[in-house]
Amino acid sequence: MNRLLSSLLAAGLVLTAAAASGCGRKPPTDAEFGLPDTSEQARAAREGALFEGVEAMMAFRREQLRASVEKSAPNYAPIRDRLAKAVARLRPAPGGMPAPQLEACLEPLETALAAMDQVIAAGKTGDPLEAAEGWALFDQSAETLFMMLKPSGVEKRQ
Amino acid sequence: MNRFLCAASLLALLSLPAVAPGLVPAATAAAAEAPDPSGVECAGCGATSSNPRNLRHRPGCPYGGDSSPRPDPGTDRERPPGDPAKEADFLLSMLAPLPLAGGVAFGGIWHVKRLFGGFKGKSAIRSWSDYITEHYPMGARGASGGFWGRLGGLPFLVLYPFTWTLGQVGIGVGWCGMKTGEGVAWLGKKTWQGITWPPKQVYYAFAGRPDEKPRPTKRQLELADFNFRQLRQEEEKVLAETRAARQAAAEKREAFLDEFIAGDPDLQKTLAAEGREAALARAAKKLDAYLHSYRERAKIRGDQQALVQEMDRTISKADQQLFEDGVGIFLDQAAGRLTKGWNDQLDSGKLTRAASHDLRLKLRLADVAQKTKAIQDEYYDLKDLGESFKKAEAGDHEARLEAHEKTGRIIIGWLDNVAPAKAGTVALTTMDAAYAATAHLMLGNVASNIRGDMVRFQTARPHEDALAQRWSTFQSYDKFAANAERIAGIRRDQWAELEKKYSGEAGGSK
Repeated sequence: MNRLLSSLLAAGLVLTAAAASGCGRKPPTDAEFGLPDTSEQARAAREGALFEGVEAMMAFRREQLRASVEKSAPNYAPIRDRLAKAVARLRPAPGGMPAPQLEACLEPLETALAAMDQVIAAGKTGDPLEAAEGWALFDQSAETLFMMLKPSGVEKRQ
Repeated sequence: MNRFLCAASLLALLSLPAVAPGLVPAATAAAAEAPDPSGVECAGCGATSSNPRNLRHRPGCPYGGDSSPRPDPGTDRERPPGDPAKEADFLLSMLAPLPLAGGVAFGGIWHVKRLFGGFKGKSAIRSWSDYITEHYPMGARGASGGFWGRLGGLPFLVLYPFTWTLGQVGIGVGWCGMKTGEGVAWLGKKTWQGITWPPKQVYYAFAGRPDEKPRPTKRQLELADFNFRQLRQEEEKVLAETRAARQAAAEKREAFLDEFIAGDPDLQKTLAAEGREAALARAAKKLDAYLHSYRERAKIRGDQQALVQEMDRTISKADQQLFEDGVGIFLDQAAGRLTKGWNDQLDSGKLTRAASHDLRLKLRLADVAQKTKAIQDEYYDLKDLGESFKKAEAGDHEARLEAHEKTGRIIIGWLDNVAPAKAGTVALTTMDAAYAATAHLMLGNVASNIRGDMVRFQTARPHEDALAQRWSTFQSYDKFAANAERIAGIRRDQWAELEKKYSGEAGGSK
């Protein structure tokens, strides 16, 4: 009888210790914790999104040049959507941590998007000064982005 | 159950008259059947009776002075007459079914009473035996009837172990059911009141609360710490760049104001009389007025203005800027004149912040130009463009317009060259392609701005309006650079804070 009681007491103590230590709690996965995906695939996806953003910015300027040379109305709407999608792809997931380097590139892309909106809005209202300010913001965004990028094989002079 | 006991007891009691009255008439009938002759008389006391067996002697009679009848030893040797009780007992002992029935009845009552806790301190067999014999109706008269009574009650004794076991099990089951019901009611009440109940708390201690964020591992915390450290380091570089850009923008703005003061006699007088700060403030105020005027007129008239020759000076300056910033880079590369001179200038440390900033941009653009290896293909176009610019500088307005047109088309060609399909042909990685694309985009911006100047000068007050637009651009740059620096500072602080947080958590976790 005493042995049985001792065994029951020991089992109870073990269960209590297991409960108190919280050993049933699972740690979050890396994704749940919000760590950025550092796989090659994710990195390539982010770089692809960045390139798409830059390409959209180029297309924006190209459209302005084309409209100026051909003296026709520019069509910025699809280009603006491309940049917005690229920015959305580059942004970290909600609750996730941003990834280094490309996170720094996100801000000029976002300001370029704001500049695009300003240029498009000024084009609709026919305000050249507003458009000029939008283009100035766009130029500055491009310059900032250019200084943020660190291409392989091209040394950045500090 | 008590009611059942009472009923059982009543049933047993009712059975007594059924037994005793059956006996008494039998005795009286036996007496009644005796002959009734003329009677007998006692010789001792003179008492008379019609039946000699019922003769009752007077007290003091030598033949029998007590009142109780006595059997006559002379009439029957085995069953002496004169004791009716003994006669009845004998008859009762001979009537086996009656004690058997009594045994059944009292055995049943005993069974029920025993099951409900009766006969404390007695064993089951002893209490069974005693109860049946004590309640035997004629027990007080010495007629035990024990054998037949016990025989009648025996089934209840045999049944008792089984019913007792069943009773114990039933009590156990009932107790468990009652406690379970109480527990369910208690939990329901607690849940209804919104109180967490102990089992839930035990589960929470084991597996954590549902709304509790799971605790990350040390590896995850270290990775987060590393991530934010990198972000912070990156942001410090961004902050340095934005700070340099803001300082460059401020210097360019001041340089523009100086240029404006130098070309304005009124501001020159202010400069001489009140100093530079006052002249700068007045110049800014004047340019704001130009800007306001231009903005208002632009709203009214749109862009119905004629091209005025007054724009020449500004256009020439812009052309030179394009040539140096954009096309000149490619021409220098093609001619083999590398950027050594620019590096030397940069290393000399004698440049202003604005000049240093521009030169760094040019150097990076030159690197891109070399890396993309687009120079050879575009060399002849650029050479032709360069000739057009030289003519434009000499005052050939047509050549200038032609150069602008060519510039626009060439820039479009550059932008096309770094399209994704072309990236593979020059063996660029994605990041290199993005970098080259950004560089070309900057060249495109420069070219496009100059082309924009052509449109801007088509105003009623070309000089003032040109100044207003340039002033607007400088202000925009200044504002943007200051904002970018502010945001970079905030982000740097944010990353540093998160780095500190995760570093501390990683150090504190096991």
